[in-house]
Amino acid sequence: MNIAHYIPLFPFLAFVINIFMGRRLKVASAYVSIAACVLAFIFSLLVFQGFSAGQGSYSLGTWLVINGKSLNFGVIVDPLTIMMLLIVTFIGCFILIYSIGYMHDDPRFSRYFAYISLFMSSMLGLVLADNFILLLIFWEGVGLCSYLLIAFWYERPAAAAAGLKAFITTRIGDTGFLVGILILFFACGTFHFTDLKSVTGPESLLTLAAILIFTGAMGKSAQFPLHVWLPDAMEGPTAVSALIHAATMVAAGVYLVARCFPLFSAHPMALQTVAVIGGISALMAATIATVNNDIKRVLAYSTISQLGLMMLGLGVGGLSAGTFHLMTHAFFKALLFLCAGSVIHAVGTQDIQKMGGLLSKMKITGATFCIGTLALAGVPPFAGFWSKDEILLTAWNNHHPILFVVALLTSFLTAFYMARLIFLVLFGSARSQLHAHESPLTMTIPLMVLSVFAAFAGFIGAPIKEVGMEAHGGSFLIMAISTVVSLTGLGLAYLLYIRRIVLIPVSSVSGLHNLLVNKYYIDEIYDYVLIKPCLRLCQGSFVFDAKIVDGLVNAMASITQFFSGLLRKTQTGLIQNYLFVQILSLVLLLIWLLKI
Amino acid sequence: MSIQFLFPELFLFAMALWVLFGSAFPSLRKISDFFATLGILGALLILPLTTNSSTVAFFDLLINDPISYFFRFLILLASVLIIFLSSGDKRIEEEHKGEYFFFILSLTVSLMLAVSSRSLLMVYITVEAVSIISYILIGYFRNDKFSSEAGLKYFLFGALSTGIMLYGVSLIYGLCGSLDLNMIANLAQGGHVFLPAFILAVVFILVGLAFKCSLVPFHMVAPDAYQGAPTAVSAFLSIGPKAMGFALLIRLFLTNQTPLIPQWTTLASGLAIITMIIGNIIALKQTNVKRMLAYSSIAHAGFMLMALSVVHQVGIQALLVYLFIYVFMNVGAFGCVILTNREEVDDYAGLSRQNPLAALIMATSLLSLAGLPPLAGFMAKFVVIAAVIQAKSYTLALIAVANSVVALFYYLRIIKVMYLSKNDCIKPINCSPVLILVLIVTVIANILLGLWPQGIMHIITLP
Repeated sequence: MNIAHYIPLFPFLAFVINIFMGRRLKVASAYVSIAACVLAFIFSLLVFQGFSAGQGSYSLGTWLVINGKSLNFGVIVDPLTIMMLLIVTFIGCFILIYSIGYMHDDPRFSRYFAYISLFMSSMLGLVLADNFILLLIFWEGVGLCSYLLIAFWYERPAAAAAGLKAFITTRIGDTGFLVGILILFFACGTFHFTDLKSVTGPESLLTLAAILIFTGAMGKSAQFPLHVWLPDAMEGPTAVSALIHAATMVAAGVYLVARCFPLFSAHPMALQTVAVIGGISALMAATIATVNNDIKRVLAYSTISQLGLMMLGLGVGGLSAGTFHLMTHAFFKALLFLCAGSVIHAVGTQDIQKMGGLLSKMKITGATFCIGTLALAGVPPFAGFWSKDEILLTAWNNHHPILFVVALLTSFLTAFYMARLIFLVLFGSARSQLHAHESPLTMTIPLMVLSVFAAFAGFIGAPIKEVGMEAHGGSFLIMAISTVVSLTGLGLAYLLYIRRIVLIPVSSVSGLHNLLVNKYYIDEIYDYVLIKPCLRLCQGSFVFDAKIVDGLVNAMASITQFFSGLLRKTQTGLIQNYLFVQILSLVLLLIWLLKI
Repeated sequence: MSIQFLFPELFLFAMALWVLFGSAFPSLRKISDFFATLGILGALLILPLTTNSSTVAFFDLLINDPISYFFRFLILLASVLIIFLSSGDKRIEEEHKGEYFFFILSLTVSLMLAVSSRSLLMVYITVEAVSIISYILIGYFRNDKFSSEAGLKYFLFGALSTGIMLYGVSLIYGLCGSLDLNMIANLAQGGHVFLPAFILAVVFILVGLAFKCSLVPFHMVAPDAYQGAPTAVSAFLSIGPKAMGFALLIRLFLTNQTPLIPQWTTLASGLAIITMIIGNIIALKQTNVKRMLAYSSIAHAGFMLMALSVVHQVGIQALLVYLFIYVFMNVGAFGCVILTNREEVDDYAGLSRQNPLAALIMATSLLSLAGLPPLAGFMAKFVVIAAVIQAKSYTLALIAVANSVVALFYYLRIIKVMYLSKNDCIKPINCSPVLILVLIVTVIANILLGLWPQGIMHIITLP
């Protein structure tokens, strides 16, 4: 039975119901969304079961025919899609449940659930699409929803600006993506993913297409240099951040690269680009995270860093490693964001310097937060350890020593900043007047469930197996190294933030510290190099448009209107005139025709 | 067997007679719309059976080919939609309901015969039948001054047009010694006729057909007729006779996809350009929605003729797609006029607040007519312009695009009045369930055909 295409329809239906009847439904709109999500999850499981029984991709019919090549409403069913379906619907369910508590007194409660359902629907459609054009439609849907949700509290100027920033930045990537798709079609005449294994065409053109497609992924997955939107996106509701960072938006970029993996792996240049960009993003974001004081922003930078790690994993040829990390990361990053949301909900601030000692007041949140941290830091046997190890292993085995070191350094920094985060938030003593309280059950139950997965998801193993995976050697050595590195990071943070031992005085590295606090001045550079000139150009164009273009258009319109009035007079309503015109036209037509 | 080919028409005509008979009895008269629907649906069911019958029928007077099949289907489809519109129209009085539906069905039969004609004799007879029934239907509100006036004008104008056409037919017979379209085409394409006289004759026939298609400068009476006629009849006139006109243009001028006269492309593009420009420009200043829609339908006729200027199968196919989509757009727009009970543009003020559904249906139909994606109207314009570009007539394509921009203005004006106008016009709307149902069907068709054009492209594929 081909039922996969129903999966995105459930959340979409929930969106339609909530957007039109949300005001009447009130709190019930949350249940509509959750029910849709649960149904989508059940269907995903059925698709999984069907896949195990040997059912595969299918098509619902022809959509368009372009130059004799047909484009289908095709549905792809393979391990990668099934993994994404399960992650989105499963984590989505818990985020929705959590949102009931988190958003309970928001005036636009039902609107929020409508958007989030649409977001999930787009993401589910995205992973099911079997060709680029269909994917692009859902891809843009994801972009639109991220804009709506990040700017959900649009009364706050920062939120509105963040929404715009996310939309515009990802759009830049999307433009590259679209051009890439078109080049690919131009070079080898296909939009279908299944054809990517066997595409033939000019080497340079295909490499260019792959790199341009990757820019789309860079925008969505917040990779350097298009990463700037993600930290600002923290202006949205925290549950949305959890969804964006775990299951939907940012996962789309990694998914895209994984989906087009045959194309990338056939063109070493493209693959190399993916790995290098991933490595830069991973290291850069991790360093920034070590000095940031905003609980959500630390997590945001950690997401960029971890996505960079996934890209790096894919770029060194590890399809299995990259997607495995995508899966485990989804669990613990959703968990961490929901924990952060719970903390913010309790203390009403996001500044970690003002927190402290919250573990005793918020036992469940605190404990699950620790589990999430250990998972992200890559301490065995938590989930992050296994997938990160796989990436390191692939990098080592495929002879990328520099990228291996970058990944190792990133995991050291990851362990350090995460430990810093929980030491400052949960341990020690409160650094300001806080009236913390544990969050309601709707918020803590998702935390507990997700923490179980954050702890043990690593044992599921990589969902996508490559041929010859088991044959690799030296895995124990690398496991040991990565464990040691993670523990060193944790230990260093312990010394610095619990024991308060000053290893190096801050003043001696103030230059570096400033550089990191200001996020390498990338926003400022963009502002100076791109945005200001752009705005000036816009100003100029605006004047040109208002004065000259509009003037011309208005003149044309008035002229047309004038003729309209004139011509209208020919319609006298007198039948004599009509008949005269008839005969006259006949004569003129004859003269004209006989002349030519 | 020839007769098998005519089964749909025969069934439909039998049903028409039954409706006429029933109009003598109040109880049967009341449900004459039901019988009319039954007739059309029956004919639609029988229609596929005719594909197997012989290609020519009745001493070569009629032809059974994919084009006639498509047009007969299209006319039946339009007819059933129009019957639904009419039964939702409160102005069509109880006493004369039977006659009204009898005439609608007879018009359908005549149109169906016309599109299958293969002889000029048949063309003339059916066109005349269509004209006569149209006069009656336009002047149907006999107590309404405008309706009667429109009917009379249409009659006088039509009489002159068909007169000229008949003259052309007789000239052709004198020149070719035959009325068979195939024979005429063979003679003309083989160069066996005296060309100036032949052109004279052909242009005379063209006048009759151009009047049916409402091509400028033979459009003069169309706006008056559409405005005065019952709205459902206006809708039918903007679809049925127009489709017939184009079918006959294909049959006469593009037999075997070769132009009948060497000047065809110039002639068709010239007429198409002035039709589009004049139709759109006069539409700008109209204050009556039905009149505006009349000019809009003239402009659309220009677009369709442009497709025929491409002397190639692609052009004909584009025209067929356009016509198919046009049925839904126009029925939607005219249906909204019946539904909202408003004829003046200003009356639409604030409709979006009083009846959001009606406003939404109207907006969808108008945007589709304007050719905005993702609605079907965009696809229609797209295929035609693509065909024109394929024929390398870039200037023509450019003029068409510029015209679409002008057209956007008057369609959007109504939408603006509906959605943005501050003062409300309080007028009860005409809530007939049948009407709302058929309008929702047109909206769905407008959306579906726009998103999934392949659906119709598959069906409308010429051999």
